[in-house]
Amino acid sequence: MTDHDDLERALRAHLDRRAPSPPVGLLDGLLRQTAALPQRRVLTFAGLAGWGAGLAAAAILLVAALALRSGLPGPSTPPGAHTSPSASAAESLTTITVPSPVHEKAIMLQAQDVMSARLRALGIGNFTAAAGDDLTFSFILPPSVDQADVDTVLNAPGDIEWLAWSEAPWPVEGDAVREDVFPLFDASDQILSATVRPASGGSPEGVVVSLGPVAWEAIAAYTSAHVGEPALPLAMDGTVLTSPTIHAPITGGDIIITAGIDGPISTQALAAILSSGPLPAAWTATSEIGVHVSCQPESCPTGRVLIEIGSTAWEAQDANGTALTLADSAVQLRILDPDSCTVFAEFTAQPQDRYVVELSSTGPSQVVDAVKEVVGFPMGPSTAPSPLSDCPRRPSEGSPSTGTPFSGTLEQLLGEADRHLGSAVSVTGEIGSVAEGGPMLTLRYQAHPGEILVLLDTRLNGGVYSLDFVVGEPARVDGTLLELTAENIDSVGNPYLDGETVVRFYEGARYLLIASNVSQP
Amino acid sequence: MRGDHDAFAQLADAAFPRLYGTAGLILGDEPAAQEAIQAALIRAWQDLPRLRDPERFEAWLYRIAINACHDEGRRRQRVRQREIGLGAMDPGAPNDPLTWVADRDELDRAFVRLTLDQRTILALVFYRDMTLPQAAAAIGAPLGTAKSRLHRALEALRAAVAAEGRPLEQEVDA
Repeated sequence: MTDHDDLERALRAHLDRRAPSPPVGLLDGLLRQTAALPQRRVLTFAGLAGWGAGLAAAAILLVAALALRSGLPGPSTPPGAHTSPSASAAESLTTITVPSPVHEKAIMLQAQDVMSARLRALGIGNFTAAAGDDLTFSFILPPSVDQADVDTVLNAPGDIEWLAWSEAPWPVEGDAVREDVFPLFDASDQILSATVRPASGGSPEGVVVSLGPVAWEAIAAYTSAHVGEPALPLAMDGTVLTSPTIHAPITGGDIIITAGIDGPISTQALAAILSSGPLPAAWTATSEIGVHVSCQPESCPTGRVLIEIGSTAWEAQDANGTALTLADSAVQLRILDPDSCTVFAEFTAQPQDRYVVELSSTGPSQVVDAVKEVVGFPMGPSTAPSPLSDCPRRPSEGSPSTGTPFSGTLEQLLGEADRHLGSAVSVTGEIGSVAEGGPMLTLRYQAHPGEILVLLDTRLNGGVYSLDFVVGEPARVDGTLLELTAENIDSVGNPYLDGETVVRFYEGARYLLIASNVSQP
Repeated sequence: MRGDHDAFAQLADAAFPRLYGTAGLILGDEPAAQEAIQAALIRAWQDLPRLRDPERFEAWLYRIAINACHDEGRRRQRVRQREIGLGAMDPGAPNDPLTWVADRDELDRAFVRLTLDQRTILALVFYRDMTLPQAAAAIGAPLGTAKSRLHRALEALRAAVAAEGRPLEQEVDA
């Protein structure tokens, strides 16, 4: 019997004795309490299928347009089997849906952030991401990125362990991690960076990993005691990736991983996972996660999607992107204060500001009703006046009938947005129109000297465009929201949740956002 | 709605005794545990429509409860408030020899000296009998972090027991 076993045995017995038993009647009382409480609604869109992919494609085209004008590398032909000789295929869109094992907002957004970071680390800087029922990523696959790596980084939980495997039998690549072997340190907060080192001078390609001080303290002490042994294997998701022999105490510098990673995982994918951290535990607890490509590049040329914005075949795409844009915009509009006609002064789009709704793709006909549904609007035309109708407006705000509105195709809009980038652009979005049997989002923008761009976000930020999709580099853009106003939209107390607000969209609702102090931290 | 609540009550009833015990161990304070469990059950009921897989109810409930325990622990730390429970937190065993009572008290004092995170992982694994992946999901940490935390918690417990002045072997062999 080891000391280790003794402690665990004693602890188990001790905890069994020490754990309190619930007082009689406590659960009944709590259940009576919960029975009197309303449940949170799971908001469901219906009839929005196809619309989101259109806007996602629009975002990709915006990326392409801005990249070309600014000299940044733009999207190009996907490699390998996805390569198509046609010009349209060179701009083809890949949409990947990652089924979510949970529907907890915080976990889904955390998973989305991790996956987004991994995609960027792979070299996919321009993409849209949306969280609905599942997570959806849309992008044009750069030629330098292997589709298999994309699948890997979106699938792997990414739980990394440097194991204190201090006795024989020693592990080899592919071995499962024994339950009684523990990691030497917590890798989730000790990996500072991980980058691919190209092969050169006889050295194979590898991943250079920079570790934090806690890791180094543990490694130095441990490797000093295990020279000559393969006692510090690297494992990912319970499988040993590599188990090099410790030739001398390792006391600092960088870790370079070379052996054993070209089989189960490429250096590019491993570096992306190492540098982006693991997926949330509740996500990874369900191992049957699969990545589904719902739109293969060959079958989904962006030109076609662009033309069909608003009338894309319903069954062809899911609607997460657009639906979430609308839903999140609605939620963001909570900041409207009908009494003061003001908004809060500082606004930056943070992850917790985002919003997740359940989506279903059941049919094309009720987009307006669906939006009303998600924002709590009663069905049927409203006769109630908007409480915002008396708010003073800037000369060019809120309506295409004032100021000098520009109205045209999305392509024109995006071009103009580019021209005005950094100087003066605002965008209004109009919902509620229906064209060719499908929903239509009409964008208008107007210039305001001295103010800086806010574009409709096709991700989740509800009006604040994240320029990391534009510049091709992972750079978040925050800005100060100067004004946000709307027509035919009002906010009301949420009848289901105290202290929260929902927004009502009326037929033909419009909203306008203006921001300044846009910066890239 | 009524049917939903009946089903919820049935599931909660099955999980409640161990859930309550786990909260008591984590917080070491029965009034605090009651507060946390109350908050957790309310949250679980309100968010029940968001649970996609009913099979995962208990794991989901534990995750909510662990979060509630940590919130409650932080809150009580912040307000420097400690309520002394009058309930029988440790009914003990009347026929225990005195030596065992002394040893048990040492382990008790050592356990209380651990951090909230350490008590949580130990309670989940050694009281609730969760596997490490289950415990990792409950605390919302990667598996590697959970393993590391468990390892550190056992080391810390061992050190705390030693600091109480009695070798572990005497304790378990008594």
